[in-house]
Amino acid sequence: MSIGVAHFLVLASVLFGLGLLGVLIRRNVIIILMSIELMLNSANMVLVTFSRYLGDTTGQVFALFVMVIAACEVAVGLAIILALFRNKDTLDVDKINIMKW
Amino acid sequence: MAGTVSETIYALSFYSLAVMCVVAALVVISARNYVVSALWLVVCFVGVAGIYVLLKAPFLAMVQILVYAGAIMVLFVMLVMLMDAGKLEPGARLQGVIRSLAAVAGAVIMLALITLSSSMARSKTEWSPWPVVEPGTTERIGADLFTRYALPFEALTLLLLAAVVSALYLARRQEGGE
Amino acid sequence: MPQELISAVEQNWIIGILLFPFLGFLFNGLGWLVLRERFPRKLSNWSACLSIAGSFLFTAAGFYLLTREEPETYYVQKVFSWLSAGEFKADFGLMFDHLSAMMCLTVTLVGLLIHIYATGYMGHDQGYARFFSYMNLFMFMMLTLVLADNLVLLFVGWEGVGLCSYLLIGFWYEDWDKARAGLKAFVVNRIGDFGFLLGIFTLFLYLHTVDFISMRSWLEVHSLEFNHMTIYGIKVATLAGLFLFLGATGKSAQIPLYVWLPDAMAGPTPVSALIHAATMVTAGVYMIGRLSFVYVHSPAALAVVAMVGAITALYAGTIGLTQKDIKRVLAYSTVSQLGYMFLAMGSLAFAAGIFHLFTHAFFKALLFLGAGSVIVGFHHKEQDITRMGGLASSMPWTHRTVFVAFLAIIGIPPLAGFWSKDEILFRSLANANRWVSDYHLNFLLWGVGLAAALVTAVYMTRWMILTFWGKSRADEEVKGHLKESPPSMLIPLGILALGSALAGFLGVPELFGINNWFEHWLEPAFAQAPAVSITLFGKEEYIEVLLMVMAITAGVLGLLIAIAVYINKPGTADRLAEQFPLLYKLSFNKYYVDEIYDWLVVRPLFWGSYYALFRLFDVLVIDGFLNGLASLNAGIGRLLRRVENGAVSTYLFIFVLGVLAVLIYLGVTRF
Repeated sequence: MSIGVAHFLVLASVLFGLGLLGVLIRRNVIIILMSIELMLNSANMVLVTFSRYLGDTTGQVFALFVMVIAACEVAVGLAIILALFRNKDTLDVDKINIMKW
Repeated sequence: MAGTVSETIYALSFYSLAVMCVVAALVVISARNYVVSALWLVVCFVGVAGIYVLLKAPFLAMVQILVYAGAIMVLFVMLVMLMDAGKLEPGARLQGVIRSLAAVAGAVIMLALITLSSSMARSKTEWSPWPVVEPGTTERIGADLFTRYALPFEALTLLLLAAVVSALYLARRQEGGE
Repeated sequence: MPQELISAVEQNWIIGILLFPFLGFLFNGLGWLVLRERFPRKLSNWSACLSIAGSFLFTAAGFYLLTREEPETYYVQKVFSWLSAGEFKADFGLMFDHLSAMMCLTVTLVGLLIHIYATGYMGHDQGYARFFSYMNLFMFMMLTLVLADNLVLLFVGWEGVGLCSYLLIGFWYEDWDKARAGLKAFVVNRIGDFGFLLGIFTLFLYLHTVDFISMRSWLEVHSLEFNHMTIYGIKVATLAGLFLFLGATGKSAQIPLYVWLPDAMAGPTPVSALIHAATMVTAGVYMIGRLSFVYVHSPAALAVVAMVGAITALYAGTIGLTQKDIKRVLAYSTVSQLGYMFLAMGSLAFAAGIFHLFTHAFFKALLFLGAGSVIVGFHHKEQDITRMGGLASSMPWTHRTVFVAFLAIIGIPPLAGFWSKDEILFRSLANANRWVSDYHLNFLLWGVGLAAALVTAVYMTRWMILTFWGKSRADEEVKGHLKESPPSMLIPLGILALGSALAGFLGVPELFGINNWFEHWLEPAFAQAPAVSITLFGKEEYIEVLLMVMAITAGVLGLLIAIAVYINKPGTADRLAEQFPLLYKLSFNKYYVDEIYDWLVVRPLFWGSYYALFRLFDVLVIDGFLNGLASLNAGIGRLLRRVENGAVSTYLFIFVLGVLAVLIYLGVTRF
């Protein structure tokens, strides 16, 4: 069967799902962040797929934007994790619960 | 004839890249050592870059490698080295009821998405074969980026500025910011 | 166009009558507020008196102008449009007709004399500017009441004089008893005002207007129709009349709302003279006169008015017999004389009632000012007449002028009081009120009136004897300081004495061949009363003369009785008190009415408010509800807080659930 839109979409879904599971299951905050990157990538893939299919470069431009945003997010996120680590000396998400009622 | 050959090469490339991505992703989410996870994420990103090439988006593929694999992952690895916790997470076992439920929900979502996507393959009338398009070259992306999408482009520069400043502030040495 | 509207002549000077006192009020009030003790006393005195003088001059000039016009003509001035909502229209409009001109004249003339007197009386008081500003404000309000061309503006003046009464009675407010007297006056008045308001509402509901002229013209055209209007079986005219009369009993101190007037003597004597003798208390009588064309449609209401008036006249007199305070006797006398006025109004003798109002203003003001002169003579230290006496020699001019008023009030001809009182007695017997004469109540009314005249003579003579005649019973040291009052006080006394003596000749009855000027002057203002004639031996004149003789006899008899009791055999009074202890106690304690009111009305109201409304409802229900609401909020908050458990995984889980929900929704609706 020739590769069609569906194939790429299924791939993207799988990657998205794996990323989602990583976010939900893992306790290490760095891995959670990496899983989020995974999800972002899958979204990018969908964008590019449809850009290819519709012949409009808009999809790719937006994928570019998403990448920029992802970069910013990673920078700030890691800075926060660093600060958190310095304070609580742990990367375990379950142990960071001071915002309790 | 040429069509079927390129088609086969195309399909082969796709499947190998797909497997590479999925396997790498699996390792990322299940590895006990987060350094390992980081490195395998790089692999995944490279795979995704390959997918982009298949999707006639060479510029984006290069940017993917430069930014994601090159910059972001380097950042990750650098931070990981900085925070040498020395303590590795005792297994990615599911801890607590919430986590299990969450895993189930996540799996359900994944399945739903997959179903949705694959259902598109079956509808023959909607999705005709790939049209012939121009590849997403630098010129074409650039043309769009600086004309039609100039505003979001400028806005993103502001975002970058904000991100730089906040990251600097948050990560400073004394009384680390909140 | 109705006749009345043709007779109205637009003028623009009527406002002047009101403007002067108002400016005086502002000037004195602001001067006091800004300058306090540095506000010159002389400036205050002169400004206050001059403003009233200005008012009087305008009134007199206007009165003169009015005499040159046709009898039906009257002056109007619309100052500004005040209230206007659909059908309801009440302007700040002034009406200077024969009745209001007469009233204004009385009010401004007597008011002026009292203001001049007050400059002497309040000569040593620290609050002089405040006093005169209140007095001027009162004059403004009273004149507004009298000049108003609609019920609503009249009510404004009505309330205004009530306010000033409160302010002036409680003028020396540092004394709690005096302040409380002011409060009592205001509160009791308020009860009456409630009735007054109901009356206004009733009239507006059925007449669709509150303007006097419109009311009158409508009623003259639709008289029969109005006569048949009823609410739940009661005639509208009767209901409105009774409601309005309730207000009058409050303002004019009749049964049942007279209780504030004796206590009101706590105020300075000029206040008692002006407000509680000559002007404010007559507002109720004026009101009935003004609305005569409504009242004639309800003989029943007028019968009530007449009966209440007559009974009050006798009742108050019996209390005055035993009182010891020099002003309190006069207070009860005022209540009693007001009763006469209402007796006249109720017998459809509107002009007679106003005539008595006019003469009474003179001699009652004179009596009060004389009492004030005595009080000043005693340096405000003594007001008990049982400790006075012999003042005829120490205060000759005060005595002479007061003596004139005394003769007037007990009805000795040819002084003013005789003419007006006699007219009332005659009209109560030859009663034009169908309701009264049908049940032969006219004899009762006349009899009560005559008895009241007798009692009046007795207690007034007693008052004169104890205060002025005989030997002085005062302490030695006080006796030495007794001297006559200054001219600022004596001159007004003199002028009022002239008035008391001569004013009566304005209303001499027809039978003497002279035109009854007063009655003719007021004729256009009132509704037509049916003519009644009673005859003795076929001639009307005989009855009149007979009644006159009987009235004089009553007066002289009362005088002789008092002389017998108090002069010829001293100690008789005390022995009588011992022999009839119950009667004495009832009289001296004002029939315990204040105590009855206290237990029947005041205490239940207070306890009800405090325990039921406050403790029960306010604290328990309202506060409970509000506090409960707050604690409900807090409780729910406490419960909901548990969601925030600080664990990221929980948050993510909820997040994912949300996504799932959206997906399911989309899936279900799209596929």
